[in-house]
Amino acid sequence: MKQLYSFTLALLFSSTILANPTQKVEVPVDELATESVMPVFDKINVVKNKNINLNKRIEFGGAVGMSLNEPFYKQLIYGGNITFNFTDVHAINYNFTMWQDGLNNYGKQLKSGEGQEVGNSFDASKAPHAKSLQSLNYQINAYYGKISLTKQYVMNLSLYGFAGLASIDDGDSSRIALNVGIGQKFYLSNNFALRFDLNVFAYEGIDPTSKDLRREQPAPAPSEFSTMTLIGSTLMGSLVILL
Amino acid sequence: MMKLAVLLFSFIVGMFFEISDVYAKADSAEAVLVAQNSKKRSRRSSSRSSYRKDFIRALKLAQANRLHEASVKLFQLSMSPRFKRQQTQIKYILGLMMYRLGLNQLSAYQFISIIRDGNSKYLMDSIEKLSLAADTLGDDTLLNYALTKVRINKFPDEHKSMLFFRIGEYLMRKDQFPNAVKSFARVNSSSPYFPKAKYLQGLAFAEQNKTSEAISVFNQLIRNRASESVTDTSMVAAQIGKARTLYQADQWQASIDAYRDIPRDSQFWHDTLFESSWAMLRAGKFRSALSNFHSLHSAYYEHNYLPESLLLRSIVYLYICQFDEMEKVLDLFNRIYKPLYNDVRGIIDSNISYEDLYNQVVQSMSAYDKYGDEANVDGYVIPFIAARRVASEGDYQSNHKYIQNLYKERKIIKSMPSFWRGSSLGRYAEKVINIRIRKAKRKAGRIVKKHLIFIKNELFDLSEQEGFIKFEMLKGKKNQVKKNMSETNVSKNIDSNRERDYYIQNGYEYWPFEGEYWLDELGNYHYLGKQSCE
Repeated sequence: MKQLYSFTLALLFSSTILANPTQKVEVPVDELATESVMPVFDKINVVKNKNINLNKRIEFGGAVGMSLNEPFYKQLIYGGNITFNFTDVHAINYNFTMWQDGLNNYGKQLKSGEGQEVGNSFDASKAPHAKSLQSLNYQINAYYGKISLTKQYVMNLSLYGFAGLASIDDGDSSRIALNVGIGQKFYLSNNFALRFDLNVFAYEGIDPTSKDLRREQPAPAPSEFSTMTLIGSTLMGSLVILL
Repeated sequence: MMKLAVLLFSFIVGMFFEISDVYAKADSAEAVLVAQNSKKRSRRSSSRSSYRKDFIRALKLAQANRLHEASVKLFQLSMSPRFKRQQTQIKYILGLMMYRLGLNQLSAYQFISIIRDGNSKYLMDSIEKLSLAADTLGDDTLLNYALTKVRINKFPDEHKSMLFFRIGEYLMRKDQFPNAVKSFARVNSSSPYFPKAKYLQGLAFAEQNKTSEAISVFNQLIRNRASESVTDTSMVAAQIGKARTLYQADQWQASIDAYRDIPRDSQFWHDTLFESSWAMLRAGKFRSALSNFHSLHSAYYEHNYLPESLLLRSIVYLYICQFDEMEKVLDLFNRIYKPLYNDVRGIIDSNISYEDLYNQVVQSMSAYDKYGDEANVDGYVIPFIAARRVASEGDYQSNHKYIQNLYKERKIIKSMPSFWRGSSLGRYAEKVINIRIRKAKRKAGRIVKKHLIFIKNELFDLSEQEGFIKFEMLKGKKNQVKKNMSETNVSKNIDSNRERDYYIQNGYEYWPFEGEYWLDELGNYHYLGKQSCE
């Protein structure tokens, strides 16, 4: 587990420039590990005296991130989360996300008619679109581990998955969504952590391309749009306080 | 009468191997009996015939492998004075029936009864069967009884290895090590008893201080088990035996190397952590010893009885003048083991029954087996650390195993058909097994008490040693303070730099210890402090 973390995260975080140990120690070779097996106990307990105990603790976080597959609207998102850990493993999580309003570059290009036949344009801002998302999830803290950064700093981390129901507000109505995701927390201390969530949600949403949305024309009523199953995904990073 | 003789003949031919032997012996007796039933005894012939019919019916049931019915019938016959002359034979067959039903304890009683009577043609067979039943039960008393009666040359070849092994064990218990060595040497290499016998043979050599012979035996066993898994119990036991013998021979480095050969994923590896620390201390490898202690005194061993290891650790700190660390370790000793001493002394002085003592150990161990670290280990009369220590002792384990076997036998009795349970045999079986369980528990309780007394005495001795060590620590501290005061410009040695960082150069990843103990790190800690003596 730790090896996996080391492999993936050392690429992101460790830097040989920062590695500046004050002393080198040569341990006799015959005292170094020669086997990768673990000692046998009647009851397997991977870690004892954990630095980070989550049992009955509550976490608050402020988050920023981006929508990963958004074609027309701005991708910046922000929000917050609250997690209550029933045990070290099981938790319930409430997540609130808001989209920054407005069109992204592609949306703007389509609105101005770039790349389209002369006189044609597509103004996606005239269609109802996701403005906020609230989700209530069951969260399972599946793995607890640690990573050695720059050989001088050890950081605890945990990998978790979550799933639940969400409500998406498109400015006109709220729609129910199914929400799943995985995430990783890097504990800066016993009370602070960085949390990264990859979130995927599916809902029956408005298809903006189902109507002709020329910029000079008035916005159609929301009921005029047809709907389709939409799948959205977000990547969020938050600073979490553990109480 | 002729029909009866024919019946008997056909019966003899049809029996299984043990029983056929019995019936072969019975045949001549029966034939004579038949011949004797002549006309001149015709007045009594009808009643005799009825007895005989009962007997033959019982034997036929046994022949047909109808063990339940046969055993009930045979038990009735064994109680009847009418069958006094055939009683030994009946008891032997009854014993066999019970043995086959898995009622080892009850069958053992039948065989013992035959052995006690002596001078029977079933004597040797009974001794053999008794030793097999006792071996399955794990009852040393029965086994010893059988061994005192056995004649080796009359014992079946296929069970001789078991016999030599058990005799060797018995001789070991009696401290007759040279004879034990000889007995273990006669265990056949193809026997399942061979690895244990070889290990005990090495141990018997070591007990006689014949270390080179002991090491040679352990090496033989290691080679013999080379094709097995690296965690093979017999091979690991031999490796440990070798390491211990090398230590006994004052070959510290060789002993350390032998301890390192013991695989970490073997259940015995934990014991070697402490033992190898002693070897490291004797070899002057203080840093290595302290590295071991970091694993040994981790949270993984918080419920283990390790008072000596704490004192040993403090002695290592004394050698390198780490008085602060030494004080912490001694404080830990006082915090854990002084209350334990008081608790154990209180139990020994109390009137708690032997049976309750045993039950307490069983309950706390079952709770731990079930819930692990989540178990509430404080709710028992015997402190959990002491209970766990007692439960790891060989004599407790063999008695506990015996009691478990008795419980299994009682379960078998309870699952018998109702006619069997309701019969005089059923009532007898239940009564006997319950009495045996009670007595075995009392014996186990006495073993518990014996070990508690040992723990109390050991803690008393260790507490005295702790006092001496503390005295040395204070003396060392005083000298250090004196020296610091006399020197105006004391250069800071490396150990005063508590903020230092290290990394290991050997290409291994370095994880500074920050309070968490990880299973995969146990045994891989490296103490990086240096000696502070000036």
